[in-house]
Amino acid sequence: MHGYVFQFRPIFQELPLLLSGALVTIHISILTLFFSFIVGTIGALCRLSRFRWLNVAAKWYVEFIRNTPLLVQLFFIYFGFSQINIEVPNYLAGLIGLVVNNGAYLTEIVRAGIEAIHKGQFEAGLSLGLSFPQLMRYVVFPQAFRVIYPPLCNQFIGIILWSSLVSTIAVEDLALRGKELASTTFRCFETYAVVTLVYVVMTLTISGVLKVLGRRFFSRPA
Amino acid sequence: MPQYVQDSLNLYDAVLFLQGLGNTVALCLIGLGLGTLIALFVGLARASHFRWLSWPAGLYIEVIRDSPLLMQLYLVFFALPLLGLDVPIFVAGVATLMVNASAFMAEIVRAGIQSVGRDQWDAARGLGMGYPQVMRWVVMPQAFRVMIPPGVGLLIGLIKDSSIISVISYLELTRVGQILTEKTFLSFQVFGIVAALYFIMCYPLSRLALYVERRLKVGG
Repeated sequence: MHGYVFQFRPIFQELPLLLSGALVTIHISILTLFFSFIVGTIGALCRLSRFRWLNVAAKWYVEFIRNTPLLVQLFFIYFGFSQINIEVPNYLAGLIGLVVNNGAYLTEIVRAGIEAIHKGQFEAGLSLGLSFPQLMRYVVFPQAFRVIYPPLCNQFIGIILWSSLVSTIAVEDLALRGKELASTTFRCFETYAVVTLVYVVMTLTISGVLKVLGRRFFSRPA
Repeated sequence: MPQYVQDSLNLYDAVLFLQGLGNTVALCLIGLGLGTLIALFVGLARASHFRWLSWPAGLYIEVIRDSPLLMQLYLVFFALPLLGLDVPIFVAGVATLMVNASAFMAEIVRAGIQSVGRDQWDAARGLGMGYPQVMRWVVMPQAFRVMIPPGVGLLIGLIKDSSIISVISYLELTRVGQILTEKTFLSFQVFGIVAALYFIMCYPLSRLALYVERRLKVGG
């Protein structure tokens, strides 16, 4: 290694800077999860709808998003808006891109959860005179959520990791802070090693907590 | 007054798109090929009974799966010169995809190996085969069939993930899109074409994966 000495001290001195970026990463990830869950639920209901055009539209939305890269989707939204002269702040463009992307995956997850419920539950609810929204809220969702929970947690971990791409459209998250730090200290490898470590620690902690919560509140379906 | 911005896309841009497409395909196929080779060993180690093999393999897989691909790319890109290897950007890109794919593929290999029933093992052992022979003639051929649908899924994921290699300025499809956007400012058209090209690559593969999965389920 031609006398290269690894120096981690400059990185650990700037740890608060990196952690402020980590805060932005978690912030955007939670918002993404919330909104893409809403989009995913709407999409799942469209996919299961009796109206053919809703079904087909949702199907093509999912297929298009799942077969194109997130980076291209982010660029499409971010640069596309500036082409038609609409000023979108970076954070919002990144959030929209992440929500649109994860909404497609969540559509499939929520759909699988709803389809896992026995048809008799729907029939029993309808025969009790429940309206469709009441049926969904009191009968379907509580049961579906048990099935949805594990893949939803996996998707959340994926959101945290893939949110690093918003650094390419200049959102001040952990990845971009790492890039800034690398260019000011010239210690590229050490910086990115520490940033990767922060991501791994975040991911493992959150997935551990979610697993414990799942065991406590959503016992796995029989 | 000379025009600094191109008004529309022309034939030269189409050729650039095709170059980017070809570079992406090369990046993914080589990355997946090399990654699978590594994954065979890591997956075997992960499925092993010996803790000293299984645990380091598990650590390797977990660290790669729980870190962003962008960070892995930066690490590989900046680590290689430190190791004394002055490699072209293509090699750095392939190395990143190779490392990333090897971790995900290792899990697929492990699942494939563990899907072969214990009775196959016992029967082969009963015929006097040693561990390598059992693996080569009995377990791996059966595991291979199970590995194909998730393997195709991994290829699709890898084609999409290769868009990140644009960050180190390798001339793959997304980078071509960025360059053409800077040249023409027609983001919708350019990235629309880029997205369509990725779709044309990935969608047939995803239908293929569904078809293969259905065929394998019926075949048993």
